[in-house]
Amino acid sequence: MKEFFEYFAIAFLSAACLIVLSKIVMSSFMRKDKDYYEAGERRDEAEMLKNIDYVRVRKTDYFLPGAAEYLYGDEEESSTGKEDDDE
Amino acid sequence: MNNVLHPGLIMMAFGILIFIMPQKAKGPLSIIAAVCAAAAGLTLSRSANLTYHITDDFSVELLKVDNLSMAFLFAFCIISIILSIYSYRLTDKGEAAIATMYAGSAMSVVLAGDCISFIVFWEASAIASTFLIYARHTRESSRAAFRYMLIHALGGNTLLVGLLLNVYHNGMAIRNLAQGPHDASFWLILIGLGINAAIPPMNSWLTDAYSVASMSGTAYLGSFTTKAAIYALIRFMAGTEMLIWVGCFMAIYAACMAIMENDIGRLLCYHIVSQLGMMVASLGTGSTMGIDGASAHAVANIMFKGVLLMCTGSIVYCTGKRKITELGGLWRKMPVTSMCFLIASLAIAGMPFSSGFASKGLIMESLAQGGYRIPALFITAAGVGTLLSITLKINWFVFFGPSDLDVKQVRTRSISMDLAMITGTAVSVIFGLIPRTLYRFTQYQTSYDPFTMAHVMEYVAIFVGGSVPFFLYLKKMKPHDEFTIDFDWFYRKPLKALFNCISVALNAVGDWCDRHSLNFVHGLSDRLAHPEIMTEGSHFAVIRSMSFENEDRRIGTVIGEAVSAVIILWIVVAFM
Repeated sequence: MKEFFEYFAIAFLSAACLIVLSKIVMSSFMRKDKDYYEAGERRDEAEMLKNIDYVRVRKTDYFLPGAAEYLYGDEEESSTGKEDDDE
Repeated sequence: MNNVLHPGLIMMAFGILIFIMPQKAKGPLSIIAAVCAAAAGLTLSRSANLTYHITDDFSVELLKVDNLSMAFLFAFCIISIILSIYSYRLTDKGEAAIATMYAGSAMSVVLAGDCISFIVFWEASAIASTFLIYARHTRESSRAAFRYMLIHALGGNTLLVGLLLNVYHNGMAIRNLAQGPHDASFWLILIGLGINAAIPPMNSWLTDAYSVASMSGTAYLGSFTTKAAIYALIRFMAGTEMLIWVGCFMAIYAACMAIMENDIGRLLCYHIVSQLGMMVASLGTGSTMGIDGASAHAVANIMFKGVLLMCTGSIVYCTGKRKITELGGLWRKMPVTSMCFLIASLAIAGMPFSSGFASKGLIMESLAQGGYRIPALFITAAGVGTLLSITLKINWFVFFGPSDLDVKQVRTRSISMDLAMITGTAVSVIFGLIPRTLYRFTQYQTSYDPFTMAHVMEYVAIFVGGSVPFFLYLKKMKPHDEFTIDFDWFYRKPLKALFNCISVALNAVGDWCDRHSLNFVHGLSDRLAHPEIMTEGSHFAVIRSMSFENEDRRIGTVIGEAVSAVIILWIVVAFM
């Protein structure tokens, strides 16, 4: 019977300590809004989606002097001029 | 190759077959796979081994049998049969195939005869489990699967490096490292296994990922990965005293987290961690009773935790809800689930004549025999935490307590789900009523009688003593509809912000280099084509107008050509 009361006391105190520790101490800084992570992640995704746009693929050989004229002739120059006008 | 049937490879082969065959065949094939694996396991003798010769000089031991590997193998086989019945109608064939392969890889881990085959199957299990989380195809499960993959890549690679170092120094055999020098390989293996065993602070992947997997996926995941990690810890680390304290911290910390939790799935996941803590503490003693306690508790845990996870899956399937605050009074609507959950929750808390009572007895006895009084107190306290958060909290607020909520059933569960839950509960009850059957699932098959008056009274006292504060603080114990952060906060918030800053800085540097290098190349090519540009408008223009006395060449042209030559040379050298 002595052991029974000993373990009863241990269990009672343990339960009380765990309830205080979890429901009062830990929950004060670990309990957050139910959307805690998701809200931030959705915001980041919206930010990234905002930046999505068509990217104009430029011909890299354009940077070589004379190459554009050699390859595409006047057509390239006129199209480049058109693009610049659009911008 | 030797003439031996490998249960794990059989499961994996069936996994491929399920994937190939039509959708209708996946249910029967999943059950047949698990039954064939169990049958193959029964044919294995204690001296069985399977060696695969990769070259004449190099071979790997795919299968090596002893009591411990057989214990885990049969536990895995039994739960595989039960889970394949449970998921008979729940899964599509892709998920069923992955689940079967996952179970097969976990079986292969516990049968692996050397470090190389161990790590290969270990990684296979990590990959399969990632797909199992992803298989739910929701936004949150995809994101959780990605985080899970990252954590397990870290754990797997740490373990791989540790094992390779160990192979280099000590050979390929799996050996206990607790007594040896605590060198780099020891720590790397400990960290790698610790991540899989969900030792804090690397525990949050478990609650993060398992709770968002599919209904059957959660049950599969809860039964294999962490238990394979316990098997590996017994093999490599049994007797590492530090693990006793680590296990105590795990058990207490996870019990506290479970008390706060509102989501049933996450709550049960915390209890996986808490129960793993008890096993880790037990194997840390290194005694035969401690090792047997860890393996017996792992086997018992596979059964009752499997039932708890299946019951949770059943609740989510039928009601579409998983939060305790949204559930209540389910006893009338789901009597079979309620009864199975009650029995399994009593077992996890260690109620006398349950399987948890038999296995926890070994753990407590091993701690007492080793003279670890304070760890024994911590483990008892963690057991009280289990009683509070599962046995009392869930049963009261979800099933049996008074509730004003009228929870609607959106779907009717299938007979196979009920059958699986009842079978799992029955196995758990048999282990509890005849502990000898449970103790056969251990390495040393320690002789221990849990049904002594002192031991029974001890647990009755714990049940009564732990229940009183629950009802005293009943209002406080009611969960809130909030989210509890864990150690994953560190990598989901500050670490993420740090990586964002680094990526922005790197992007800015790259952008600067990009723009300036293009300008530089453009300017350079202009100058190569027209070297006189370099001298135009500069002080060279003054020199340019000068002439050599004996030569009719302008000095500017000479300088221009020299600079062009140097630049061409520089480019040629750079591209070489």
